Amino acid sequence: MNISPRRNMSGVLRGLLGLLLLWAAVSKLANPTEFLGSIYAYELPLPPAALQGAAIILPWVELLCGLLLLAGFWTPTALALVTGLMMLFVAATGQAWARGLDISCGCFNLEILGLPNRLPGLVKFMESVGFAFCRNLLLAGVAGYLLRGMLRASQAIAEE
Amino acid sequence: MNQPRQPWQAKVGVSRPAPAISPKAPASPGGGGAFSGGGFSRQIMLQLLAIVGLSCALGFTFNAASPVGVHFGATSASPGAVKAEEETLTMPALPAYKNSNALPSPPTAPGKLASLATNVSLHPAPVHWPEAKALVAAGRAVLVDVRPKALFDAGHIPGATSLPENSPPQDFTTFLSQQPTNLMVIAYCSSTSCSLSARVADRLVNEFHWPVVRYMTGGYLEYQQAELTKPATPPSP
Repeated sequence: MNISPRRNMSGVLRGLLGLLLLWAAVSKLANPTEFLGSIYAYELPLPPAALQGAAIILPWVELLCGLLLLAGFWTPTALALVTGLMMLFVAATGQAWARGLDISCGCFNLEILGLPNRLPGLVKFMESVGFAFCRNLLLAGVAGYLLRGMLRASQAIAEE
Repeated sequence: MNQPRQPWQAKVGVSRPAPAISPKAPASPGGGGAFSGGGFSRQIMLQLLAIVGLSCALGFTFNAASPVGVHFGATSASPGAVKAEEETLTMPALPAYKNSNALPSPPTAPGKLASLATNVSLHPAPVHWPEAKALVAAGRAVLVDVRPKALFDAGHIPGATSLPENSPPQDFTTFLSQQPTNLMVIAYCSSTSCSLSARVADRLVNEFHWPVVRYMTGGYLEYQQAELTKPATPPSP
């Protein structure tokens, strides 16, 4: 079977996206209270129950999407969900960035890499909402790109 | 079909039969053909609902079972709504003088604390929960929760005072004016990945010139893991 470099790249991107989602999910599940604190810090105009619900559910959405992407199962659905999720994160981090909120994005646990002790400045930068906004935008783009590729492939198959 | 399959199609096609897709689209393993004909098909909507529904079920189940879970439904109007019952904590309550203007001396040697103050005057030392717990139980320290107020309301260490990091300076001054000057202030935030407590501890020393300040490195998570995962035991005499 001849697999083009483009398809190879899509597979790699999908795997990386899946791993990233798993990392984000495990980081949040390990300390839900801290994740809730991060959500509160965004000062979103939503009732506390909605924010608490988001703190409880979002990590699991990330976890399931990550697993689905890695397993290659329900991939278009997982990609669509990830794209939507990333756009949501883009909106949240974007409004925080625009308002000048000096908060931690609450996205990943960088302690796994041992960074907080070695490079505290880098950690602060990586946890800033400005960086998180750009990263989420990039991830939304990657998920959208993969989704579009699958759509086109699907349509090509359907037309045959 | 001569068309080479996508990697995701090949993977799924081996282990799972093709799901029923849109009636107009040929079946395609993994649901790829579900997008045929434009927008989301019913199949995709069902899959989305399944993922979200499963996430809700897993999330609330895990949260209910986890000792470090979020207390769902806690609001600012229900302070102290920590998920596990606070009565399980064996630590006695803080002395009554914590927020009173009539302040007796804490039961400790002031000279010892004063000498400690000289050691931590510029860079507050970290402290772990077992030591902090002993200090608070002995009336030698007071806990300050520097996380946002909403998070404090959602759960905090019993006896702690909420003093969010972004509070106006007069709140810090008011709080400190109510404490004996030889009482140690221990700041805590969420966990080791949170630097708020260290920052507030620095401010307490360098901006408000409080002599004895430390910060709890493990934060609220360390307390939860140490206290809320243990079975309830009667307070030791």
